[in-house]
Amino acid sequence: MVYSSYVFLFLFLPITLIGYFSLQNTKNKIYQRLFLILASLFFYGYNNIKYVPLIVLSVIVNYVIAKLIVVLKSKPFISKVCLVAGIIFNVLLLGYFKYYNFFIENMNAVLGMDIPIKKILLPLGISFFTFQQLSFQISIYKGEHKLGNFIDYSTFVTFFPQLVAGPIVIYNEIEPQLMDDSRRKFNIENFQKGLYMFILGMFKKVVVADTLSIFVDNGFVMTNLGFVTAWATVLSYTFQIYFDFSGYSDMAIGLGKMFNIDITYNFLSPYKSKSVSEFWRKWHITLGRALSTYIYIPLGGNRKGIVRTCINLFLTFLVSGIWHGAAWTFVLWGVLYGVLVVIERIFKKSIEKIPGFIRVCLVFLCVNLLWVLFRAENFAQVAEIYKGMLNFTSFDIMRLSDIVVDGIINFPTFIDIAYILGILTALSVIVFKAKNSSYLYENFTPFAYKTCLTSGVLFLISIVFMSRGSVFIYFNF
Amino acid sequence: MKPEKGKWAFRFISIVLIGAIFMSAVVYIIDPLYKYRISDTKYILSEQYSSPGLVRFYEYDTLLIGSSMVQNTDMEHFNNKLNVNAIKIGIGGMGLLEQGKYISLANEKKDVKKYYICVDLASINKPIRTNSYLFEDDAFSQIKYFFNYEVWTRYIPVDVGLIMADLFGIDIPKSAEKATDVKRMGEWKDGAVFGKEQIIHNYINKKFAVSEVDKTDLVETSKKNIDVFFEEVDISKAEYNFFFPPYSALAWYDFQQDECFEEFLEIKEYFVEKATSSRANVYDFQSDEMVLNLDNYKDTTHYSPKINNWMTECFYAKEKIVTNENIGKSHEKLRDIVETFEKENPQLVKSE
Repeated sequence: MVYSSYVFLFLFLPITLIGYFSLQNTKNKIYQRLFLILASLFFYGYNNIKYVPLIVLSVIVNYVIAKLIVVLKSKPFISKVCLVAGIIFNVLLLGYFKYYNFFIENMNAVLGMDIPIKKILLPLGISFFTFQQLSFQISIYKGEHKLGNFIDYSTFVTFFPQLVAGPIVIYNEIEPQLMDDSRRKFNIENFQKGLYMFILGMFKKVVVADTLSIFVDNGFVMTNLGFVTAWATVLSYTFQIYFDFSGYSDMAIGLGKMFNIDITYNFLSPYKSKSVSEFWRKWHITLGRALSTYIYIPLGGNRKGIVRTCINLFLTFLVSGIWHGAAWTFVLWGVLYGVLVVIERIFKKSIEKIPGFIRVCLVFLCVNLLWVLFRAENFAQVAEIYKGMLNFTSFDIMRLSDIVVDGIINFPTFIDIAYILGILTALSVIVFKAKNSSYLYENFTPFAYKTCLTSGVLFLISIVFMSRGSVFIYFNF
Repeated sequence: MKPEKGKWAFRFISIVLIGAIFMSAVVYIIDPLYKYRISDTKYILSEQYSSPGLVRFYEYDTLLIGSSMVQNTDMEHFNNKLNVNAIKIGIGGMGLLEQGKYISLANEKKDVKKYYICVDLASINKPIRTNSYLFEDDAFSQIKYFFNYEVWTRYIPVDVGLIMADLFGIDIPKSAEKATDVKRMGEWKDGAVFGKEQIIHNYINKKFAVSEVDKTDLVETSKKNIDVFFEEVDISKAEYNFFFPPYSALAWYDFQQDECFEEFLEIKEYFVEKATSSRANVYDFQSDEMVLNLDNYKDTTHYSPKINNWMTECFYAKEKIVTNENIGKSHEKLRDIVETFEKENPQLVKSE
């Protein structure tokens, strides 16, 4: 099930809210928790029931291991063995579903073997909930969290607003809120604020990102792209992935708020960043936090000299690339970010002397170029796009209409060109100048009639655009 | 002043409801996809979106239905020659089951006297792609129509423009005129280049695929779909005329190379058996020597409008009708045609 669907909006969400808060006065909060867990599992398994046993198994095994770590604390070696077992379990789980075929394909290519590829269905959100539980186990081992009961833990992992594509929440962020009795009851102010954020996110996703997806899908399969068409395609993807993922995160935050749970922000105007490091502090913030906590700092962080710092940074981004996908394009994507961050670290003082505006442009340029690797299906496609981006001999502006085509009505070419250029210009202004949704959310006031009217209009527009049908980009991770 | 609790939510819901009612009224009044009526003003047409409405509300007594194979049919010539008032529903890649859905809709809503149904073998197993909300009348279908993306972002803006042009007596461009003409809906002949040289060149260089046929269980799946079609469509109420469109000899040559030539013939024979047992007519245009002349084609299967006219003449003269008894002979002729084609085009054999 996706947030931007009629089933979710008009059936699942109202029923879940009503069901959850109808249990608010029960003496034992376990009933509310159980309801939320069941609703979340229903949400998760709606499109494919086969996903559900896997996540249930993952939650049970991870909890048992965490419990053993705590119970056997007095025997440090065995406790550590349990942690290692937990890490192996999670890595193997993720490795099998996500990386098995990638591993086999490469083995076949390198060793000339012919091991058959399996048809493995990638469970939704496996990278997220596996990473989340892995980080939880490490925190339990270090004594950073106190292990609650199984129901609390299950609620934390399966909580549907963040289950499938983050934000990657930490147990310490969610558990106190779940324990807070005042949050058990329906709160109209939270509901209104949450609804507002949800609508902002929904509009970003179904109207903006899904419109851009048409340009991107068309552009990436074209050959002999001219300069303008190539850049328009890449810019479209740069905006698409931002509005898609940040829109999803906004919806998750909004949904959490409706249930009186505050979920941390995941995006803070990343394209306004003056450095690649800053970009990664503002893009998919919770992933960056997790990578920093569980990869970068354990490797030594910046505490062991500049050379070791650079190696640690590089390795962290390499892991990020691998986490994002089982393909060499993702690996290269991660590697190149690692290289950029290392260069920034080494030449930090010189870079800071460059005027801010130019730095923003340079970072945006790098990000655009690297998104090509993220989106392309293979290196041939990457080469085709880069070739077009450097094709100074052919501006080919008329071909812009080819990337706009969606097969419904064929408009005259000049209308198509004006349409795409208009959209990209407007989005550039929004991304670089406008206040982001987190700011709007923080400054939400139920007194302002304008937000009400805007929300109503955005909601209706989103309902119309939703009839087109869409998939979230980060659902593939 | 502290706002009353819940006032924002109340206002939001009110705005949404008022907006929703307004939007529903606009769609109902304009009705760009003919869900409720055919408007007096000519609207922009789409084979995929306008066809259900046309089948339901347009005035006709004969239905010509098929894939891109029928889209170039000259309907004035068709109607004059056969003395009918026909409507053409041609949707690219339309499969047999999708055709069945439209025919059932026509049977339900109109008093259709005759059907001319193109059986495009290359598309016979294509899935149904219809927008169900345009076929059904329940509340959900209405709601889907009132808040539909294509309706609001394409058809309403364009149709409002056409209404305004009509109101103020402004002439619309010729391309828009064609796009609003029911008789020319889906027509692709303008700008199409017909000729042997380019077809052979493209074929040899694999510049585009021949109608890509899913060969997995081709015969079994096709027979199953044929059975479903004849179960779901009531053949008894009107005169049914099925026809196999004339693919070029190159297409049949390619089917042979692709090892689905005999399979298609088996499917045709099965279809003829089912159709004739239901007292329908079946025309086979595939075994005429005309298919050897690739100058009549734009690619391996798409022929020029001359061929559409020729088929209309055959309908009038009741020529090329096949039955269980003579379909075998027709297929023998087709095999000879392919053999002749191979001999006349040795460059194809060299390039394989």
